[in-house]
Amino acid sequence: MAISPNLSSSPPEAFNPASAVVFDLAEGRVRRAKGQPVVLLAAPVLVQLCSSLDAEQQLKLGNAMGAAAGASVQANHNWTLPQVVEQLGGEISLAGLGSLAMERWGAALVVQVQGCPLGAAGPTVMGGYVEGALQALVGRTVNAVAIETTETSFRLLLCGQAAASRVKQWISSGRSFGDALASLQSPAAQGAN
Amino acid sequence: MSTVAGLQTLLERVQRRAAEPRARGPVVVPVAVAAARAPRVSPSSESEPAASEPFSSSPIPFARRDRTITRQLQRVRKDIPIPIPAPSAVEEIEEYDEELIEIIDENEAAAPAISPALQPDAPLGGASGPPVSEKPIVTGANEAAALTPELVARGVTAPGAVVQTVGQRLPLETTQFVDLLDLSLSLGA
Repeated sequence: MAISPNLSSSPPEAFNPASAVVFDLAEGRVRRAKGQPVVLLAAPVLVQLCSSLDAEQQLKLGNAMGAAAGASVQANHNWTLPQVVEQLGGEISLAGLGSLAMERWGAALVVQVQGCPLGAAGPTVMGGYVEGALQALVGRTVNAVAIETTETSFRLLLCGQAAASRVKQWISSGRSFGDALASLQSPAAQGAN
Repeated sequence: MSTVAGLQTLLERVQRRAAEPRARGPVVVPVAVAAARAPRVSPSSESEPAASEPFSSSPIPFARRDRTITRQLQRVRKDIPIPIPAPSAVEEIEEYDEELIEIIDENEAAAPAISPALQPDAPLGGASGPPVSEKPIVTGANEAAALTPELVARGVTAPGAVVQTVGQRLPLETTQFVDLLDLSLSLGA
């Protein structure tokens, strides 16, 4: 008897922040529910730290942060997109890094983050964050490429390595992210590979 | 002189006309001017209808001319020493003159409907420009049916011959996140 995944259309279980962070004032520690110690930093301090790093280092920093967040989530491979957004977005919100949403543009999955306090380093750091988190959650190697950046939000395309290089080139040449997404899914782009 | 003679002839005819169908009083005294045939106006015979017949066939020239003639006739009748007819005959003549003027006025009023192109207020160069409100002339039932709008529409096209779908779009709410992620990772790979 084949086992079919439970693909319920009911709303995903809401992220439960209760006791997610424990402040041990007697010991002077702050820890997560599973016991990992955490440090509370003022956002400007983290911004100053990120601005002192190059892009690769920013990516590594974000990757480490995302891996830790993904490890704290009891992932399930049968999770649907809303469930992933709910749990991973809960972790990002708990860390004060912004509000997570995901979009599907054709076949392309796009992550949108609003209200990230990391300033100019936000897209790169959070790109690494998403990559690390998804690696921890579902075991996939993902490239999260910044395709649009505004004052309050940015978008990250989840793609493979080859597509990431191509999209970065398109965006740096001035093409809009919608145009890049359309070009990536055009028959010519698909046939060229 | 001929005009006066024609007017007198017309007056005589009018008086005769007034006397014949409404012969209630004394007979109208004949005009003492030599009766001569006036072109277009005077009847060809005694029994022929007098004034109304010319207006019915060609109203515009006759109407204007006869109106003028009638007014001249009224003046001439005052100037020419003619025997005074009986009071009843005078009334009949005046009544007939009024009817005659009324007929002329009606014909003049009807003139624009008969020949609008001859009216003085017709727009200049109207014939060279396009008609303003030209309506189609329906000459018969068969021709009207031939003017029915013809509908040109595309026929039914078999959907399979033109539209092809490749793959199946996965529902966003119920598909596993891993499948959606793998599909996105396959782009451009």
